Amino acid sequence: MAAVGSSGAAEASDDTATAAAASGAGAVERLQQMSDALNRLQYEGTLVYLHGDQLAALRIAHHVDNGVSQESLLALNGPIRAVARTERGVTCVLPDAHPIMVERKGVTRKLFRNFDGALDHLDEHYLVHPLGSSRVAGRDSSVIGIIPRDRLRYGYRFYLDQATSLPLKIDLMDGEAQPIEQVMFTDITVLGESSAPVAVGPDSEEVVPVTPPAGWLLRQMPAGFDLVMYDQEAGSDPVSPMHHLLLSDGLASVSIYIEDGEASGLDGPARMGAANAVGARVDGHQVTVVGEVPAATVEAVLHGVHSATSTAQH
Amino acid sequence: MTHEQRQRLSAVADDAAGPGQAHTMLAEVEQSPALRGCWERYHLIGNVLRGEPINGEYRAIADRVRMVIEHERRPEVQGFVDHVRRWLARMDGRPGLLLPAYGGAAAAALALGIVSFGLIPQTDRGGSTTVGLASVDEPAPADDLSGLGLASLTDGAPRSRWQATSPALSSKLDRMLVGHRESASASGIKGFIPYAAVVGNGVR
Repeated sequence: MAAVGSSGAAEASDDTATAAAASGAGAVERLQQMSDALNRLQYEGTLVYLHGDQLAALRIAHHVDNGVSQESLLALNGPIRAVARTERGVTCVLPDAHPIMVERKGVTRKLFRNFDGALDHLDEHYLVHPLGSSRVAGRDSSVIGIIPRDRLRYGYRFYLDQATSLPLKIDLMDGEAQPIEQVMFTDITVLGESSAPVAVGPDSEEVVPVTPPAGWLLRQMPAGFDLVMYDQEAGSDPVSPMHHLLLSDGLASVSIYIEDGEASGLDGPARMGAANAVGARVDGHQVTVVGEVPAATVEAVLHGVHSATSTAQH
Repeated sequence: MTHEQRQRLSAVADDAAGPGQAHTMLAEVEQSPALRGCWERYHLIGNVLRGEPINGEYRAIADRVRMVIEHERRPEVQGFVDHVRRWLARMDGRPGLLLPAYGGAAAAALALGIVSFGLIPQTDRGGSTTVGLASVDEPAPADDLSGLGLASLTDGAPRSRWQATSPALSSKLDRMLVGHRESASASGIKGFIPYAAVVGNGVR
């Protein structure tokens, strides 16, 4: 048998890389099918949420009525907690708090790096790879892994129903490949597709460049996290709106909230489940960063928020 | 102890007592050390007549168990007993506890099962301790679980969802997280399911 020279080894490496790329492309396509299924299919089921010693059972439902998607989540144990989302917005009822109502954002998917046109970008920070198959809620599923290439973001394991592409289980993984947070269907009933197509948002053929609000700069954001949305919302101060900026690497996302005036807020870090938050006063304004990313990432984002006024003075 | 009591006790030991007599007799045995001694002798005599082995460890076992129970009734044990009574009282649907409608029947059945099979020491009018069934006949007193390490068992106790924040700040962060989730969900990959983390947290 002839020895394999360096050229043979290089060819083998190329073949491996090609196979991996093809496998990744197939995995990305499966994830796109998952995204479509979540929008298109009507379903009901019971979810179990697990994070540390937090265990909750939830009832989830997704219905489409005349092309309008309606979703709901209801906690089945502990204090009453619920979330409902319609075309108008999200209403959330949590323990010991006033109901939270957030308007549905008029944002199209074209403002985001979705999977259609962002395979290269996603691959820059994640390795997308099939991880075999499993059985969840009595149904066969294909497991897709999204493995982060650094510790600035979490990884994911999606267990996709082989029949419908719905995610039957989602694991959020840390840098040590340990699950931080898990959501799993224990039972699911797929009610089929709506006869009317589901609206996915306002039509937009134009990608609008997004910039920070006047007077603010974002510098040295963590690798891959680009500004993808800016909006103004009602804040604690009834006179001044609260600036809301959204950063995303195509999968993970981080929000920056900037409040004018003397609004009080978070000073230091906080955590709930896999979500991390950090807050500080920046040039007389309350800045809060929150996202489902490691604590070091929200810290890095906060440090990159600068007031143009204070920057000009230095 | 009278001659009549010894005769009735002998009848019970020989399984020859009339309806209701055994229950009455056993109640008297429970209250009288003399009758308990007589009861033991009757059984020892029966063991001997039947050629059965006799184990000295079983002598006066009722008194020994009672002494152990009294010795073991430390404050924290009694505190837990009181906690269970309050827990049972709240499971009958009284205000203060949110129960899903479909779970009310299950909770009631559980409470009945605990009451039916639970044996919690009670102090009778004579001052001695007897073992009987727990009963819930009083409204649940104000909750005071400090020092028992059982506060986490209380459903609905105020608790900040975000670690290291006050409840007021936690509410503000919740609103920010919901706004963040809604903006991020427009990317569509995970849809509505990530809201499970918003709703699922804060419960043990």
